[in-house]
Amino acid sequence: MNLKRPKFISILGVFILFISCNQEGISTHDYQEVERIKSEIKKDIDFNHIISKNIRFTETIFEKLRENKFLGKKNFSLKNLDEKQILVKLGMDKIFENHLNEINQHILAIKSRYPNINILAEDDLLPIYEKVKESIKPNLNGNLIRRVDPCDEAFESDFHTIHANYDTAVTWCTLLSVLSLGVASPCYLYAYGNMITDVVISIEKFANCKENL
Amino acid sequence: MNSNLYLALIINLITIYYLYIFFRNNKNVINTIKFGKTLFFLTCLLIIVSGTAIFFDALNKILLIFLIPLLLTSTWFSYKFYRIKNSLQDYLYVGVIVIYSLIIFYNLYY
Repeated sequence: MNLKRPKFISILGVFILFISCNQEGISTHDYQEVERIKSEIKKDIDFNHIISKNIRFTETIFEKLRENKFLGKKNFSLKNLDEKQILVKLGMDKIFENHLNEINQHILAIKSRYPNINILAEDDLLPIYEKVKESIKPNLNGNLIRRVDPCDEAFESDFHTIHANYDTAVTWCTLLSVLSLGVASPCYLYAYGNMITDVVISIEKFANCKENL
Repeated sequence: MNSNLYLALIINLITIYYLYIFFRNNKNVINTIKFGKTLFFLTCLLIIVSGTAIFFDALNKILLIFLIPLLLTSTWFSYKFYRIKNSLQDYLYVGVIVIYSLIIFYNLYY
């Protein structure tokens, strides 16, 4: 191993690494926060309540339309009416106000729980909303039940474990590298190796689970 | 499990080779340090033990407490080593690793 490299390469290397680390660091930090909120909000009770209540409200509107026999009428069209007129016509204006109040309360609860939720763009939230909406289906009694795919759940929990283990490993390796002034830097190799094997095993488990379903 | 073991063995061999090259290139400096070879051996032990523990998800608080003396030994060895070697190039390399590590810490916890 030739350690006698020109000094200017070292200095250039330092600058390039420092700049790239800083840029990566800032984006990684935001990305981690966004990913954390996204993974937590999926299971958030208030978020799930908002979606269930919205589904119920839509169902109620359709029930009212059926009751009042608006559906199927050839001359009846909702296109010329605005939202308020439709709700008044169906006798649902007060129900809608109550619904809005309830939703606002849930939103306030979510905002108090996740003060950084503003960093999430609409495009981040909509797919989660749609995914949770798809997993919730009203049964015949009107109660909302959640359809759970055991393979997905297992894969998700595996992934959280892998993430936590990798964070611990990187923390320890970083501490080791700083205190041994870089001599112990191969420690990162073990952390990557462990992460890669765990990911491969969990993917294999997921594939087997899907096959056996 | 077997493929796990093979991968662990490969990573250990790579690490041992890296440490051997490090020793071969810096033999003169290590020999000038008091108990240099022993301190270097303990540093190698620390890297391999903690690395293997990380690989098999066996890193826990008790093991970390046992590794603290080895960690202090490696810090002492590295301090002595870089002070005696007194090379600008090495200072730059170490500086990069330390700054990189601090950025990782910052991004993980702040």
